[in-house]
Amino acid sequence: MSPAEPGARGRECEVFCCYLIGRAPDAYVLAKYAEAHRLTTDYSGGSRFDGLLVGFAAWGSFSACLADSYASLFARQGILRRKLVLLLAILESCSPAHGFLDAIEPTPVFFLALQLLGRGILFGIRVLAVSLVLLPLQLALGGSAPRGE
Amino acid sequence: MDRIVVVGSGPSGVHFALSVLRKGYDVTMVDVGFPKPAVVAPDATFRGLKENLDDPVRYFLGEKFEGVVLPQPGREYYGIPPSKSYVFRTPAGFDNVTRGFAPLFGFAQGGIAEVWTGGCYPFNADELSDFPFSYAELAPCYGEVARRIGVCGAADDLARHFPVHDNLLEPLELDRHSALLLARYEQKRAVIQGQWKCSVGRTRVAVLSRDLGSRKKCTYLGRCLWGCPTGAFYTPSLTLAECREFPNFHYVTGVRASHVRMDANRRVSHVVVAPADGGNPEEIPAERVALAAGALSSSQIYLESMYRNTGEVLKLDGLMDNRQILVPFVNLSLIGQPYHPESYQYHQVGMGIEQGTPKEYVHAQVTTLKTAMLHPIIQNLPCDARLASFVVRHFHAALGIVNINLHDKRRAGNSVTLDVKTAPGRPRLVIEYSPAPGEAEVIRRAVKTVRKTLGALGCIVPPGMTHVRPMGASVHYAGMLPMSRTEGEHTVSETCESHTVKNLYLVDGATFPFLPAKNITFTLMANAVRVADAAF
Repeated sequence: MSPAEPGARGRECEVFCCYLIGRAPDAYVLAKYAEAHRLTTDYSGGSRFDGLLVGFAAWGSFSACLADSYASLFARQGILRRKLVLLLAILESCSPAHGFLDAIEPTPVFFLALQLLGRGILFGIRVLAVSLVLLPLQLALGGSAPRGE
Repeated sequence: MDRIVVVGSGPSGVHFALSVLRKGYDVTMVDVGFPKPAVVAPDATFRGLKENLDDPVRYFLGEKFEGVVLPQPGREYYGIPPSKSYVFRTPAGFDNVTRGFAPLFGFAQGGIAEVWTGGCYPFNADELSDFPFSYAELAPCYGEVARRIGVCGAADDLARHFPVHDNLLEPLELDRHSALLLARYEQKRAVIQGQWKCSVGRTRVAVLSRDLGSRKKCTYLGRCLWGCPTGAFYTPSLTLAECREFPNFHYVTGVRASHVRMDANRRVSHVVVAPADGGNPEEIPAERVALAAGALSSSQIYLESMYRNTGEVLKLDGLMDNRQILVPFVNLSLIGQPYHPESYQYHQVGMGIEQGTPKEYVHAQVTTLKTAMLHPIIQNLPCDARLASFVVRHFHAALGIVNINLHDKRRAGNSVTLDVKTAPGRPRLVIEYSPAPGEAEVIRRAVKTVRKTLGALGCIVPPGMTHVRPMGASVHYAGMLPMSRTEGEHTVSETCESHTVKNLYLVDGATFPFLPAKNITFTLMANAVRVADAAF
């Protein structure tokens, strides 16, 4: 797959950032995300399925969530996960985005457990639903290629 | 006085050099010596770096984003920070062959100990029983090194495993998580010690809890993992800087020693070095040579010296290293709590587990993770990144990791030799290692004891996350040219002078005849001081 043009990369970063932390990236995050894509080949290439999954994820936050739920189990080393890990690494390294991981209000364990249960159930539902479509596609298109393959 | 050439600027080399410089010797240190980058914003806290640097991503992830830990099977939970990657840079043409061993080499000023975690554990009398000297002879050297570098700790339950030496500073302030673990231990001591033969206490660390000379005490900026910006945390480059203030010290950097040249009486006459970035070798005259390049590199220089001077390709048995096992855990009472990065970041709590014999003691260090990057943990969880971020965010304060160390013995077959056929001009080091029979059972028992102890301390160990690190990961290499009370080929004397090559001293871990389950750096420094005192 050829590298996407800067505009598409920016759109991709915006969608993934909204998905991960619930807000749009600032200019610095956008620039660093684009710079990483320029400097290394870790975030490009891959199989046809990788390209399809990234394209689907870049539609919007909800599709990013569906695609990542699937990739977290069935395409862990694929390009989509790499891009998300890169963005997480950028976000946790700079202000104000790092607050999404650093700052929390003390939460009683009972309420936290309830939240985790709810989120876990939703994750399971998402994986089941999206697998019905993506799993056959992945099998048909030849899976997700790790770097260098 | 003799002209001494010291090879390497790691912990052994700099403390040996400092001792002989003070005696008035003329010392030339040859070293590849890649320099440390300039300190960034020395007064900033960990959070301050993220908030105030112009380009924080470049600092935390590196110029080429090499600090991003991408999804890969078998990857560890953290990588080397870009600010410390200079330590692992290698000279031109550096190559080796390994089987069953994943060695790390460092060619920076200060050696690979520039990235150590500061653990300072004296060997006790049992652990020194294979050495040709007693604990009483080494104890003053531990005290001297502690005076030089600053070691803090406490005389608590772990003191039965690592003796209390002179010049021990009061311990650092505990972070909240470590304080909770120790408070719980006070309540559960009888069970933990009585049933599982495990003691818990403060680790000893090479960091200042009060000012020492021009070095200021730790100010808890939370940047330990990223390289202490104030010098409160000790690394050998600080002692190298001290050596460089002596007029009788000559620091020759940018060169790599390959071998020594001997005269007809097998006496050292020259050290042969070549530019680290490639080029023609040159010879530096020397009356006495101290190899302190690290156990593997010193062994390689010894092997190549024998090959160049006699044509013989030797195989040296006895390579040792500590097997390490990482056991991540969650402290239940800290789930959902905020975390505090402004604290000391390496281990503050340790565990000592008694075994059948004192020499088989198992040592573990407990690190409460606070300022490590989180994306490597997030991407390892089996769920989407947003849910994983939510989990890590609320478990951050509760996360910790136990690093278990096992002892090792010299065994035939665990060896180093040279490959002189592939590149005769620059022979490669060939390293072979096989674990001891029964190691899996020892690991199983140690992990079980740690898990039970953590349970008593109010923590749980998530299933499936225990990680046995590859041999070589601990970087506690030792044993190929052991100290021996009797003269033998390819051994060294009590004062670490080679029995085979006159006036050649090996002052690093290559000479240790036994490797306890402890970080050896403190003993490397103490032994180097002992050799300088006894033989020079």
